[in-house]
Amino acid sequence: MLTPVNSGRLSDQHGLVTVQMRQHARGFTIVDIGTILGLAHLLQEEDRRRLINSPIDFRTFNAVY
Amino acid sequence: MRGDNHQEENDLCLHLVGCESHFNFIKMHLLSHFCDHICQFANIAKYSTEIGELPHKMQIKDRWQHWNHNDAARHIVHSYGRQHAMRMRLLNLESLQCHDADLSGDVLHHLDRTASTVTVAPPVVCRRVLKVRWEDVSNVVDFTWIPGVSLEIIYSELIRYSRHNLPIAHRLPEYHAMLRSLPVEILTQLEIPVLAFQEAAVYDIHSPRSTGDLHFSNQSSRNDWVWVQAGTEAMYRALRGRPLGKLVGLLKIRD
Repeated sequence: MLTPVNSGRLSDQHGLVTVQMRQHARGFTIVDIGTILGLAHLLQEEDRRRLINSPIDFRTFNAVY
Repeated sequence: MRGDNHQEENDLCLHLVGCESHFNFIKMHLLSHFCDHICQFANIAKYSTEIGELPHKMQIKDRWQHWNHNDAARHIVHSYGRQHAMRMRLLNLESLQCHDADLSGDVLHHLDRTASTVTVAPPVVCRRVLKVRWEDVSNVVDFTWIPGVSLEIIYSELIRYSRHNLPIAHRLPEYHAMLRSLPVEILTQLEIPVLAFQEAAVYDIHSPRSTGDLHFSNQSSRNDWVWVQAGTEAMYRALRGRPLGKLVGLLKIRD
């Protein structure tokens, strides 16, 4: 699981939420498939940091590309 | 007398121009403003690119591919305009038919034919479906492809999940030897119905995959990022209780 940077606040710079990989956490977490909500699109910012591309519309993305 | 008629026609034209001419429609350059909008207004919830992207594909890209590229712009506009006019004509005729207007036999026959070609999409089953079973897996020991994750960690995580999520009658055994012998299936694809943008009963199917360290479609392995509902909406601010995680395996424990 990824940890939201700045408690999940939107960045003033680009208006997106930044997340980063945990360094000292257990390797993985088991969750029920009922809690998985859908695909996410991330943009790599740094080695362990990524931006959440929230405005992406997967329906259009899949239809067009 | 003739001058009065001419003046009346001019007034009518000006009136029509005033009423019907406006620019209140979606422009093709809308896409170019998305980036600026996000910078100005931050993350806009449910911001859809559908209006701009689909016309771009249907009106321009599809027709460009089916044309010989000679004088393409004029032919694309002409072809799209003709199809649009035909669709409007059909809609008008269907509306007239609904109001019991006196239509000729040919028109009614054509309307029946076009109506019969419309196929109704089957209803989407709104539940998650696990797909693509991995054949050579029979127990938890085979589920050890995740880098840096030992069998001990998998056992402890299974026990934690069982304690927190399963009813007492269905909890997993807490002895490692018994966990090791549990019959399991490993799958590589999960189909998730997601409510479409501004729709109440239309679902898009998201298909996150987890192929572990195996190749996917002759390319590198694929382990998709997914949203997970892990708390209340007050958590994680803009994420609303939905952190992200990488799907590294889909495990199903058989009865």
